[in-house]
Amino acid sequence: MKVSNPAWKDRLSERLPENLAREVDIFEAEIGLRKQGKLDEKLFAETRLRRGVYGQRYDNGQRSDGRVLRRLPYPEHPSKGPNTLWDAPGMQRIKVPGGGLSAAQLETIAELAEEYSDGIAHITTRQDFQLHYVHIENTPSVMRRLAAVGITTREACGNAVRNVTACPYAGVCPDEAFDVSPYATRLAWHLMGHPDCQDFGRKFKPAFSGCGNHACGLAKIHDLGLVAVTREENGVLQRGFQMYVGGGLGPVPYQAQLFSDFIPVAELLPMAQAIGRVYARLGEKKNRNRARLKFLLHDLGLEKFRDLVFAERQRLEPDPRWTDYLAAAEQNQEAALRPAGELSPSGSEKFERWLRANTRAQKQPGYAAVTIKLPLGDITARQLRQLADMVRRYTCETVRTTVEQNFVIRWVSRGDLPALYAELEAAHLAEPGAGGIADIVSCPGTDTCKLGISSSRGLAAELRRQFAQGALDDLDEATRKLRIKISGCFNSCGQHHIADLGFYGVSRKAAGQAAPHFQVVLGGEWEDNAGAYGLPIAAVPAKHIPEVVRRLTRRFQADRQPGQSFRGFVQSLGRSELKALLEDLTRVPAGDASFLSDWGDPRVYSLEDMGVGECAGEVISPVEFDLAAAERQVFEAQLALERQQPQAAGQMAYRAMLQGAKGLVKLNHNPGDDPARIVAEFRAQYFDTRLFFDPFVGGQFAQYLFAAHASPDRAHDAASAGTLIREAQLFIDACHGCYNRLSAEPVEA
Amino acid sequence: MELEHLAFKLFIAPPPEATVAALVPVFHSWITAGSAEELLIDVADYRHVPEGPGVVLIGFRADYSLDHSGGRWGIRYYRKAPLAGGNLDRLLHAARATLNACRRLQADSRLSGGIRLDGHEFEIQVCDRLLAPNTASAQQEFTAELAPFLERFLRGGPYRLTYDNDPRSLLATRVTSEYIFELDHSLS
Repeated sequence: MKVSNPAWKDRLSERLPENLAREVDIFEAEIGLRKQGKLDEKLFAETRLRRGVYGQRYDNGQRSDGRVLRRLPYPEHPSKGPNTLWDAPGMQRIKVPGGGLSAAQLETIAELAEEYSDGIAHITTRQDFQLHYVHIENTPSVMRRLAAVGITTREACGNAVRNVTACPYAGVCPDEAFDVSPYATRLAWHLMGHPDCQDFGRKFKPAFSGCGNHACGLAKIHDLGLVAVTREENGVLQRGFQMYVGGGLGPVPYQAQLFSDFIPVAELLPMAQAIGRVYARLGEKKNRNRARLKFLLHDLGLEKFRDLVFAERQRLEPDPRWTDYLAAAEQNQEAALRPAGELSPSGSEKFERWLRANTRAQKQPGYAAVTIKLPLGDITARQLRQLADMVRRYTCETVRTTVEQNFVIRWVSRGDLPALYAELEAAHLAEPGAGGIADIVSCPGTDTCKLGISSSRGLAAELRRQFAQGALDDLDEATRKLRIKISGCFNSCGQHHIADLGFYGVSRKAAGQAAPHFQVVLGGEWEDNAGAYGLPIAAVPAKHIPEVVRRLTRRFQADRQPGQSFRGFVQSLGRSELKALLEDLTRVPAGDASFLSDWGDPRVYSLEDMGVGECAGEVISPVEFDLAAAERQVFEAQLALERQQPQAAGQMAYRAMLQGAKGLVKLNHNPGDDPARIVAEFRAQYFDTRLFFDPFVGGQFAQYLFAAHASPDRAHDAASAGTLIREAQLFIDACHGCYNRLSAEPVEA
Repeated sequence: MELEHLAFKLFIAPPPEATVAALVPVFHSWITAGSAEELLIDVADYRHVPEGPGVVLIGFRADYSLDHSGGRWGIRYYRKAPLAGGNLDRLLHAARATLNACRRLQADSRLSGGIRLDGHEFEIQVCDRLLAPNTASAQQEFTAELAPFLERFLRGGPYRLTYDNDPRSLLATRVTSEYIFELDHSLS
């Protein structure tokens, strides 16, 4: 789509780490293959999801105008997934392990937002960034530019290990056991693309917390939650983790279960691999609604799951990467740019308000961590550059995203706070009230998500507007500290289950017409790493939700016991009384047409825009990935031949055959990358057994591999390379045929 | 210098809040009417972002917006897909599309006359840092490329170009002129 796309590859060739460059090249080749119809759409969908390239609302080429469903006349092209049109704009998710970013990375994301998206970068509830309205053909350029500053989008979506999140105060929090940052970073890169984590039935989300009691890491809502702990052994303080497994929100939230109260840091990576293996082997693959780890854990029971994981752990071949970072991790300490300082009274009430809510003292005396509260997690490209300037000026570029869709700048000398505040204010980044009632978390909802039922962002924006216009003025401090979180549907991306006041989108009929509603969920617990989930009370029309908030906050303010939490208040009031409090609001007022439209969307509400979610991705076996990689290598060989590079083309064709053979061998076990071993095992398992034999030509296609392998370094001219490419294509076709025969359901007699 | 992916922003007087809010249904109605040249897809509402993109009508080949970036309100057209022809053709295309959009918005009674063209100033951006980095030499080249277009747009009147010299920014210039351009500008 962009004229400059081909040139970015050349421009950045020297700056990209080899592994990331190769990743993008592969994806670009897959785009080429899909455009030519040479890659299956389901396979392409999963492969793009694993690069963070996600679908968006209306990408099936249909859009309701409130009365009728209209076709969006995109140009005709192959799809980019089931019912997903090629040219429809999509979302690019960008993985940020632990939320940690450098100034250069902020600047790059700013550039991408301006050039490929709509000028806005959006922070998610898992510390990722998202860019919306991105054309798929621009994504390789986006990925290359990110890779040039050390960011990958790999496995940001799809059935894979998603972003590894971590407490944004790790390393500076006075209450932590130790800094989890280096462990989170290593786990993220270790599991990315790891063979043990490639065959999941659904996504797998890890999170780290430095302590058990605060909320920042949300360890208990994750598939793998790790809470830093220490213990003394023989007089030596050892670092380790309480390991929680099987947590997750979604429609029915599950609290994670304590797998072990102490996993030494040296065992973190192998244990994560072992869990990955058990999940890959036994997790549900066909029914995506029961494919998360939490269901496997539920079905097996914790004890059996634990036994399986420990048994798997014993089978792992030792890997030096498990421990080679530990000494450095132990010493890890971010540096401060400026000397520690103290703050003099400012005399400014505005500044003091910001100071109270948006800063917190670090464990290092004289330093503060500063929260930048973003409206709905959105930030402009210009603001990102201004933020980059600030983190350079005041810190050693120590800035992180948070799961509350904000930024935290760490290591700010307290003496610099007034100057930083002034700069933040000039950049419109000094909104006070971080972590309070007006710091509303919201998933994209119907704005861009295919699964959205109600407008979570529209509601969040409206609540913000009303708060800004004085709706908070009569609230006391404790009530202002309540948290509101909104999801556009039951899938809980807005984390409504762990909010004081949670809302998720539902649809209800009123006088025969659909009207947008939100289910009210009250009393979730944010503290204690998301220690408890809220209670669903009632479904209320979207337009009544501001009144719901008003009533609940006033009631809490008036009737709570001293020191009582909102959860405690909700429990003491009871569901019946809460329902009674909201009862009149559950009905759509007769004749009020405004209730038939959602917040921020003037169209008459309908569910016709909903599509099929891609969150779970397609379940594709690892063999299919290998065969797709083999196809791509043949494609690249053809390109090399066209560039008159016959030697390279011939070698690529040979490697393509190896890749295909490896895929089939992997059905039994992974043979590694040694060509001799791959060919020997292929011969033993598929040729000698005749499993590979085609009904018409027998083992002829396997002979192409054997012949190429017999002289892998032979010289190629255009003719011999062309022949080998054709043979490679036939061999890979035969691999597909063999795999299809082997995986076909047996026919009952 | 190849001028693709141009954004053209006609500055307007700060609109009342009600006008900005009313633009959301107006843009939705443009999608429904399907009457714009481009395939229009969605409305992105960023009113909550200070000095942000405002309200954006997302299209397949181009976006329209009531933009507030940089703290200046304006009607913005951003051409995402490549355009045929030379630089002058592309500039003329972007200018025409922006003027048409502006004209249509001014005439829309739902906006209660809240869109009032400044008439003296506009901005042209190249939204591609590889084609057009924001360097001194690129600014010089850009100035030269703009000359024939500005000659036509401003009817030969004098103008002044102002650049933001932050190398990280998009190549963009603010054009200020004594000449007051009108919405019925024929650009012939």
